[in-house]
Amino acid sequence: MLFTLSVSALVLLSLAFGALLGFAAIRFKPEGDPIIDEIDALLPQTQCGQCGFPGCKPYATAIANGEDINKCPPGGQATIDTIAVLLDVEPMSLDAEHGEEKARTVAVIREDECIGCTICIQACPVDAILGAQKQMHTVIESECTGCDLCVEPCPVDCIDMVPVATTLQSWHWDQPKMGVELIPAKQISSETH
Amino acid sequence: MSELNNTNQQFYALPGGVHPPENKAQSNQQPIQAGPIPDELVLPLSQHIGAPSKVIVEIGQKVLKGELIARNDGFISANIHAPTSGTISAIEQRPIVHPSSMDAMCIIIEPDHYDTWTNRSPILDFKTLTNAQLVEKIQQAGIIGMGGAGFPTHVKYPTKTDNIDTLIINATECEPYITADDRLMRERADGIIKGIEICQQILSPKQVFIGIEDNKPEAVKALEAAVLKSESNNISVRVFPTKYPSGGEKQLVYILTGKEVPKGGLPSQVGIVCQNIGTIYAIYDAVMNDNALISRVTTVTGDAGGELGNYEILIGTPINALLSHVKWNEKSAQRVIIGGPMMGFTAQNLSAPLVKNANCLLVPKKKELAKQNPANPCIRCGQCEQVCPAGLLPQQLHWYAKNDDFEKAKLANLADCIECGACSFVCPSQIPLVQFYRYAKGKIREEDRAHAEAERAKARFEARQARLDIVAAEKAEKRKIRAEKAARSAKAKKTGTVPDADLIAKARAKIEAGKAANSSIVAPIIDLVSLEQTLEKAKTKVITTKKRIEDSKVSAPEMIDALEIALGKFVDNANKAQITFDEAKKAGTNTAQIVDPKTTAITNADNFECIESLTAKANKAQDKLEKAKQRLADAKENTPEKVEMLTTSLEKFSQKAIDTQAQLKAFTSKANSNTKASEQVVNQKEVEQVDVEQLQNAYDLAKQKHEKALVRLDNAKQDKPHLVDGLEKNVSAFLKKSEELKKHLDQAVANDPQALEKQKNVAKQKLEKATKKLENILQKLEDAKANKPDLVPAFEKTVILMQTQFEKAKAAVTALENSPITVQSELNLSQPEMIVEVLETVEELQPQYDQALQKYEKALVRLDNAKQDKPHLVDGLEKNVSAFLKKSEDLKIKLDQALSNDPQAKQKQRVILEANAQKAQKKLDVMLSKLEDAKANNPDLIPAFEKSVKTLQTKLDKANAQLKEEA
Repeated sequence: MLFTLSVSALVLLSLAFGALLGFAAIRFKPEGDPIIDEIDALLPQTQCGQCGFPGCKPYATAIANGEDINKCPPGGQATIDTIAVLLDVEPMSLDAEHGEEKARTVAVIREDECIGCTICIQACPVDAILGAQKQMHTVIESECTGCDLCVEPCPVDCIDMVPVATTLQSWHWDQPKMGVELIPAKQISSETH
Repeated sequence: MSELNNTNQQFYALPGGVHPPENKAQSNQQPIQAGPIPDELVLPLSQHIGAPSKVIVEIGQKVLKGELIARNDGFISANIHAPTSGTISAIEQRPIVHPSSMDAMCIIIEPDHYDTWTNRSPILDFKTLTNAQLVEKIQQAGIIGMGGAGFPTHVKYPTKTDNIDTLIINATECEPYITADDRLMRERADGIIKGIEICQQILSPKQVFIGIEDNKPEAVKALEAAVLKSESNNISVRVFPTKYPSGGEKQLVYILTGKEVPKGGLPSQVGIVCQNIGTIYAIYDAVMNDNALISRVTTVTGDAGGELGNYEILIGTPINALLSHVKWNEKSAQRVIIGGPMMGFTAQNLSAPLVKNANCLLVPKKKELAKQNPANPCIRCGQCEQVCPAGLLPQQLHWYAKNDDFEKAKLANLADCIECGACSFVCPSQIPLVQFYRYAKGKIREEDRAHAEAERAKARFEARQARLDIVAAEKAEKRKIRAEKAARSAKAKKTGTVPDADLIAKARAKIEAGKAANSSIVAPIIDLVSLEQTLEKAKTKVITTKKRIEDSKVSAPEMIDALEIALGKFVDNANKAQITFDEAKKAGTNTAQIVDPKTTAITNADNFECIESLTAKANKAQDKLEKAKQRLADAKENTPEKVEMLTTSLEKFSQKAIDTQAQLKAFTSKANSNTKASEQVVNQKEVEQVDVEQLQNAYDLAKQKHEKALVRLDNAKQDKPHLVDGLEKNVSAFLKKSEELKKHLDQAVANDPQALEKQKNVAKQKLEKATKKLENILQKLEDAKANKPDLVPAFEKTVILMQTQFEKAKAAVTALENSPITVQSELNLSQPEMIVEVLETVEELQPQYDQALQKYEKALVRLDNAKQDKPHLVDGLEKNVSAFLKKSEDLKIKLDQALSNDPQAKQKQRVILEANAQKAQKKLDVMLSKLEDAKANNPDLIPAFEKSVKTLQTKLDKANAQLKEEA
């Protein structure tokens, strides 16, 4: 009697909780693949396409589907490492095929030479170039991701990629060098011999 | 009276903290001295937190002491004033006091050393001013937090101040060496209390605490004395034990009130406003004396500092100017530190200016401050954790910062670190911990900024994608609509042919009706023929439908019902047609009997009609036969099951074709015999004329068809090789037909003596028609050139077509004319009574000739025009011209002939010419009168009239000349 009671109690409980879990799984189902969004959040959003995908989100999707994580030069090693941690995979070094890690740049239009063709405006993935037909164009520096995509199509080559200068606002202290590391291990070994 | 009871004072003990050597005695013994007026003052536009100020002066401009030279740019920003009178010598990038040793935009003033003040309006009682006015004064004076961070002070005094219950005055000055606030309190306590009262009025707090460490007893005494003098009764001086860093804002708030400012928050969130003592004095100075913040008290200390003490320096005084003023020992100095030994940083460039928040210049000797030794590894002793005033875990933060693990550093509340340096001070491994935190903080800030930028870029990218998608969708939609429209119009075209066909049928019916009305004789015959045709058609339809039903029984049973219904209809139609045909036949025979004298003619016509219809039928049958053959061949390749059926139909078709041809032959022979028989009948003349004309027309039609078929064949050869066979047969059929018709025509012509003449007439009529058409189209082309340039190519095409037609007609006429001339001349020779006719032709020929000449001239003009504009038309027009020339020459010859034949011709010609001349004269007169009218009424028409007058004049001249010639 006691046995059946306990068994039925357990069965009832398991059914109840199963139903609850099932309901929660349907009710609180996240929209889209959350891992894609997580990877996308780690990518630098330059939308430069150097990875071979048309933007950061597509690359994030590709990574979620097993693409290599080392194809993002603007993100650099830091991004690769964080993605490696996120996906729990072995971190790898940046694939040189897709470019090198460079200091952040912004596009600057040499405005005297601009002919107002609007081609760069169409090329800019983040609408950071302002201008109109036969009017001088200019780059909204704060919105420029430095993706390089406007340089190639410019018919008069008037766009430069200028490294972002450190300002008083963006300056920060460097990491101090630890004293111990200043003494090379080789010297110690040569001294001991 | 305020109650002061030091023994009852409460304070909360600060967690952590250190006790570094104070070293304050070196500088706090001397009173505040005036600083130097240096050779130039450098005023950075960004001495405060927030937006850099906006320059409102120009280079070369003279400024007075206290004059505004840079205005605040936004709410969190501060004004900058000229610290002394002088000239703006430059506005440029200069090195500033900043750990980065970077340059920043500065206003450079070259002092004139007169130190002339601008106009000021000091007040005696600040209570007459409203809070807003007081805050305005603070803002105008450009006061910022002088303790260190440099936060614009006016921002701390919001207009709504309900929730502020405590005002804390930070008089702690906890950092070693610095004594600027100490001296200020000792010497200017009254001013400070006045400043506190001003702040009290603005904030109306319940209590005011002046927090001060117990290492400044003189200052405490001075303040207490001043507080006793004050009218305010809730100011209390709170003295607490010296400990570094109790002067930190959050730390002081905790010590005095026990409240903790929330993480990342401001003291105002717990109802507290905290103000530095130096700032308070600046507020007093600004409100009461109308002095802007143009100077401050700065400590110069350190063993290499020379004359140590506190100096009231002008803002913007370069470091080296002050140091040389105090006669510093440059050689023995280890370095120059801006700020204290714990939180200060080394000045990289001594030409950098001292700004509003520079409270100390520390110039230690080489051994005074311990040199930073190479750091040893962390031994996890935990001393740093014990001294951290913010309650953090410095060694953990160190590990995270060292390994760039900023996420974890954030989780360990790195942001709450006040960078006091207590941890570094106690570290046995001499690890520069604060520098690690500063590095980590900077890195995190950078990352956050990058992340914010990335988010913005993402948002912009997505917005752009969305926009592009919308545009693409709109385009696709438009394309779709266009495609639908095109499909609809194509459909409409397809269905539109039906009404066209209807129209044609109607027109035909009309024409037939007209014909019937014109000649009641022919009508019944035509009726009969057409009825017979309908009957035939109905019959064939019945047959085909029956066949289809049989077919569909095999292939598509669902169609049978519909087909049976159709069959019923067709059978009905056939029956009706049969009945009407029979009736018409009866009626026809009746009419034929009634109009007895013309019976033969009728039969003749009947025959010819029949021949024609039969020929058409035969051709149709032939066509069908060909088609059927082709289909059979196709079917043999593709659908063998249909072969049998097709073969039977083919047999039927061939049978039909043979039958029709036999019928045709019978009729033709009959017709021939009839025609021969009718030769003798005079009455027949009319009918025969009709015959010849009809035959001529039919022949021309057949020829045209043949040519068209040839063209089609050529086209098909290029595009559709599978159609070539069929078309070739078509062509040969047409050729045959046209040959047959030609024969008939020839026969008819041979039978009819006047046939040639008639033929000629027909050809001439055609020629005239063609000419007219050509002229019309040329006119249209000219119009189009003037008005609708886009229609020009179409018209040009038509012109070329017309020209070829015209030439053909022309050729036909000349071909016919060659023979009739001889006939005519023969006639002339044989029959003298025909001369009258010839004479008539002279009269006819003259205007014709004139017309031809005119046309020729026109064509010449056109050719000239074309040579200029349309080179591709030149060839055609040249042909035209030569044709006209030929025609006119022909006519000339004829005219001459006619003239030579006619003795009276010359006279007649003369009459004609005179008439011409008179006509021209009349026209000219009319035109001249019109011109006069136009001159009076319509001046814009004058040129047109003048032109026509000119042409008429030339015509008249010509006519006169001709007349003279003849004479």
